[in-house]
Amino acid sequence: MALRALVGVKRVIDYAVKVRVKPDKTGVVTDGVKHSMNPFCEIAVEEAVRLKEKKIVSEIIAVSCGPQQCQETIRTALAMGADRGIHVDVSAKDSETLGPFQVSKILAALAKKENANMVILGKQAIDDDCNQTGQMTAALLDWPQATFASEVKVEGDKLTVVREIDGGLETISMNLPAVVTADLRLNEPRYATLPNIMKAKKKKIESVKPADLGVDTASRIQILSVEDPPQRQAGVKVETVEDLVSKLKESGCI
Amino acid sequence: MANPLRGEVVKLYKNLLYLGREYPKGEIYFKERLKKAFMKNKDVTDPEKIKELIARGEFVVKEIEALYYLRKYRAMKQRYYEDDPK
Amino acid sequence: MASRALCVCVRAALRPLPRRSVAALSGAVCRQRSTLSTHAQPTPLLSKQVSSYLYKSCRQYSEGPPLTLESIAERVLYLTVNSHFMKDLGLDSLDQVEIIMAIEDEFGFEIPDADGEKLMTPQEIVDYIADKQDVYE
Repeated sequence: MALRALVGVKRVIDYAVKVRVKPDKTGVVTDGVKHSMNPFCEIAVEEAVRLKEKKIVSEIIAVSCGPQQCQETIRTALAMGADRGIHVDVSAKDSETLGPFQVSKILAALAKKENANMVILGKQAIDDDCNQTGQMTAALLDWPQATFASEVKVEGDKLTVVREIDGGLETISMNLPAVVTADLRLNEPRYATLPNIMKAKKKKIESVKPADLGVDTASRIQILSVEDPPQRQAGVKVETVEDLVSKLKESGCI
Repeated sequence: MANPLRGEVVKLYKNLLYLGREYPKGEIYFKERLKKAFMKNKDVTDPEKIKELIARGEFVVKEIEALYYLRKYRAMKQRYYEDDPK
Repeated sequence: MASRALCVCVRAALRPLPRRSVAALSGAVCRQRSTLSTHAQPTPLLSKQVSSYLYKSCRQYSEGPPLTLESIAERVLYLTVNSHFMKDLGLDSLDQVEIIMAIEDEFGFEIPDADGEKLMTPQEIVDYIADKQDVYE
């Protein structure tokens, strides 16, 4: 059976960048900051590509929702081995309020439109850390879901997934179509090399608007404030043991 | 100039330049060293020797890719899977 | 489009080797300044064309040569769309690979190595891109 896999890829601030909160606390600084594909999404793409290499999946469609620059993220997925891309065009301003619910409505609509048998996503994004999109997409489609996958096996129309749960593993089985969300240990994503990036430029990226899919992207939540985590107190250097003991006494440690 | 292996060498140089863009110590640091490494062998003409050097370059490519992967994996593991990040 | 491509070339030429090519490209400015301190030592990195007029400008500094539009143009625009990356700008073949890569990035298409190694001036690159992307006047 040849399956069609829909893979969601999110463009986030690169994991290595030190994130700065805007002075007015409405969000974080994104202008001029390096962005890349959410690391958990890379794992999702890799899993789809491995299923394709095993001839289980016949076509991989990479989807990203957001501004024009999301096409670069889709391009990375295409370089890793996805076949074509769909860019759901949401203006930079509207993207700020685009949450997991809106994205899952888009993904559910696309899964139906593209006749996908599988939706593979990262378990969460490293920017908002929501961990909701996969779950809500499965609910909207009324498909079974396997979250936090650390191993995926497909036999016929049966899917067996090993899940990472607190303190151990759980193995579950379900029928396709289904939604899978990738955990860190699922695989080691390949690097999108320069020659593959070049080849990926020839692959098609279709651009659609949420309205074309009948999806309303209005947000129901409002961000009141974004703050930095508390700063660690600066330490002090002590010259002698006596100093150390007196400092410890002062702080009530001894 | 018209060495049949020239294309291979150029491809290797391009791949490495591309990888250098996200080198932890910075692109400039990487590029200076990359260029020096290539320049050091600019007078090599023996095809066997060139092939050997290309293979070494390709090994370096794999090493850097592995380095990037590990770096990211460790950062993710520390952020999401360790209870008290020190 | 042309100016953008050129811009990329210059950016590409400047970016990779801050020490060297900045010296080569902004050499004129530095040299003028250095004539004031009597130690005018043009580096061998400078192209013949550039350094020869610089020698002249060193000698003529105190007298003040009669400026003409041509001499100004010659002194300011030594970097032209027809400057050869290697012969005029003192770049090497690895720098040239880097320029081609920057162009590929900028325009989002691949330039085969066989074509890439022939592109030696900004103008040639402009013509090449226009040809490949079917852009005509």
